[in-house]
Amino acid sequence: MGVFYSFCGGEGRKGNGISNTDKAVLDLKVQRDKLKQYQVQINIVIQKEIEIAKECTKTKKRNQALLALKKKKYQEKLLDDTNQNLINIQEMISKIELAEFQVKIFDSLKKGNTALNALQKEMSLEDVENLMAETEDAIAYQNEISAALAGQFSPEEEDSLLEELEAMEKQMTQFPKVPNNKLDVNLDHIIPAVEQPTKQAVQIGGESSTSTTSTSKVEVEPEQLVNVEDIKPIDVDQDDDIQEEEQEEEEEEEIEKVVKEKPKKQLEMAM
Amino acid sequence: MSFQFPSYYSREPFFTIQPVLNTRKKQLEMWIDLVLSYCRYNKVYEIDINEYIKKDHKLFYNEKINRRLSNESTKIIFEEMIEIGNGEWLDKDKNRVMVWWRKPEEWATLIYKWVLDSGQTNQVLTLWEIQKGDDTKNQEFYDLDTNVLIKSLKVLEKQSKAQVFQGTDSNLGVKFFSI
Repeated sequence: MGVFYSFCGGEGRKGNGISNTDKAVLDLKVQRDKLKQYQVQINIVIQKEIEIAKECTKTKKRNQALLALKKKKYQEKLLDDTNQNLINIQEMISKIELAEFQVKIFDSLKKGNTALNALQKEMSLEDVENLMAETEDAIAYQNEISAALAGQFSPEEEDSLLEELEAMEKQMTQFPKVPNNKLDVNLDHIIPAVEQPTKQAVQIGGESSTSTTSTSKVEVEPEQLVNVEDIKPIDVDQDDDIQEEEQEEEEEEEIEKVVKEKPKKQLEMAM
Repeated sequence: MSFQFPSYYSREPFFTIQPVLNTRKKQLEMWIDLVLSYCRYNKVYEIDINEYIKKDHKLFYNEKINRRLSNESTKIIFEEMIEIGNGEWLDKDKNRVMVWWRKPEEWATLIYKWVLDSGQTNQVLTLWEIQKGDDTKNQEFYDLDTNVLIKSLKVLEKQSKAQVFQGTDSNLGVKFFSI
């Protein structure tokens, strides 16, 4: 670790962001690449030796075949060695990269630490303790004030106050229900009475212009004419249900009289 | 499967540079297109014009219709190609030309994307690793020409995404930066 540290931190940076560590890593990686290329080469040689050995066994040259196999064996040993070397180099590269990381982490931690220290300097322990003590005093004082104010009522009084409040709240929440059932008032007898006048007015107009009418028309007329003349009393009657019964009775009697008298007159006129 | 030449490759007039300006412009475009696709297909990065013409390379010589491109015509085409930024002369005599069927800027983007995706920022890589490494076998820039690679890395250097540097025995390496 110490060795790596002098690598990374000590010597400063050359070029744009390239440190000596980077160069060391590059050298190692170049070596690794060369080893890999060497392995490719060895593999080709091994293949060749195998082919030679096959050829020689076909042509029954045992010694030469054996020699080729020996060469192959030697190359395979070389391959093993290079593999070991490769692993070593790879390990070294990883260690350097990790150490570089650790240095960076150490640096950041150091910076964080100084920042933390600087912040802590701004408040001494004594100041904080004083501040806390003062706050405590203030809280105690506030509590005293609250107690003094609350002491104006006895507990029983407070209970009754609370009860009153609860009663109020209950009242607020209990509104009478809005009715949603149908009204019982029977409107059937109103509607025809209101509608009739318009029809009758037209018929009356028609009658006055044409003085001579057929007998069938005359038969219908009595009812209608009666109603026309009595529209007003009937309307009043229906609009104001609150009117006194006596009045109503009187009016009804009058109406009945008129109803009985008028048709006779009208009939006479028509005849 | 070998490269499929386009149909216009079998037209005689295609092998003679046309005198009429508009026709000629169109023709040059088609030639550049052919050269770039051919080089992309066969991963050719460098063309030696004399060599290609001497050896009757099929790119400039169509055996079936017995037509070939002259040395001068070839140079006109490559001049135009370099003009539009798809190549560079490698020598003063304009015999060897670098063909950028992908411009260095495009390679730079591809390489940097790979570096980001494989988490290799702030790491040192050898050029060989990028060209021939096990990790780049599936990348389009595998086997990339060294000159083109260096050009692309210089592009990244300008964008301060990378730094090319030399090791102790003049081997080149590159360090990528995260931005």
